[in-house]
Amino acid sequence: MIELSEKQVNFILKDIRLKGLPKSKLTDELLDHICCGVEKEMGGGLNFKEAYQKTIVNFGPNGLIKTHQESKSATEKIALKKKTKTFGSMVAASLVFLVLAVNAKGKAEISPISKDRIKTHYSIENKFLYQILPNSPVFAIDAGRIINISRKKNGFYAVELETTNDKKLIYNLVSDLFVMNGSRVQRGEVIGKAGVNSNIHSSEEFNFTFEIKD
Amino acid sequence: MYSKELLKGTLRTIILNLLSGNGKMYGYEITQKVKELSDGKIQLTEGALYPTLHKLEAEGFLTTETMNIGKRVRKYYTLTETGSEKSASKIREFSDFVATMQTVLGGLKTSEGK
Repeated sequence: MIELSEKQVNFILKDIRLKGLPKSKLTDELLDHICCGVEKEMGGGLNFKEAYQKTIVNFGPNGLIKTHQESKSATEKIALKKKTKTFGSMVAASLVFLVLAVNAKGKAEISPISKDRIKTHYSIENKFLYQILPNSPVFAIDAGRIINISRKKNGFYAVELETTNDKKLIYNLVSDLFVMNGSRVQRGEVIGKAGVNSNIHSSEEFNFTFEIKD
Repeated sequence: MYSKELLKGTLRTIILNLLSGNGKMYGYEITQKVKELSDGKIQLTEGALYPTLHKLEAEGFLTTETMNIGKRVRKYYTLTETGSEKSASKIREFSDFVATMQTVLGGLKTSEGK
């Protein structure tokens, strides 16, 4: 097996640099490849110059530069893809977080009566008793359908809403109604008003009640 | 010699499979091994081999080590763990492809014969 001398290796290196290959690890790799090719051809009987010519010709026209450029760009493309992927995952994670946060916020904020309209409120298990300002809007805290409306002796209504997740929400002491029996309502929709005619100065009197039944 | 187009889709499979059977190899060695195994019918060009090797390395399927031989630097390629898995799946896919092609081409032959 023929092994090139240092002088011959230097000759090749100088020549491929003249042909346009930059100083790089890739050029080092291609130098070794060419040296191996030249050694093989010399083993077949060619002299150094002939063997070198034949090896370079095998790369094709501008083959050395093309090989170098394509190998470099293949590596760069993958690196860029990885970066984009990482960036993409970060953006996706942020979006998921944002959606969750907005969702959680939205869920937390829905209450049958706006907080700024509530004077006092108490709860006993799933029943909530409110003392609210007059004419406060009453909200559907979940989407669903009005399955029952009954008018009480005192003139107020009890409204029963069946939610899409099979819960029953009972709004009592509602005055003005914005829904009818069978109406479909969206989460956050105003279904009526409450707090009318009530004596909010009496700490014992509740003018709106709300109950959740599973 | 097979056409460039035909070899284009098989180069990764060839490289991964060779490395899984031979341990570490360097670029020139790969070209010679393929030439030898294919009886000279498959001759990998440098312009196709090196971009593919570097791509496989960047994708994490190959790992490299270099050895200095005087002024020369030899770069050896070895399969990583994911590279071994990739190699196995590529071979399975290719075998399946060959079987399908045989059926398709056999089918064509039969219908021509009718």
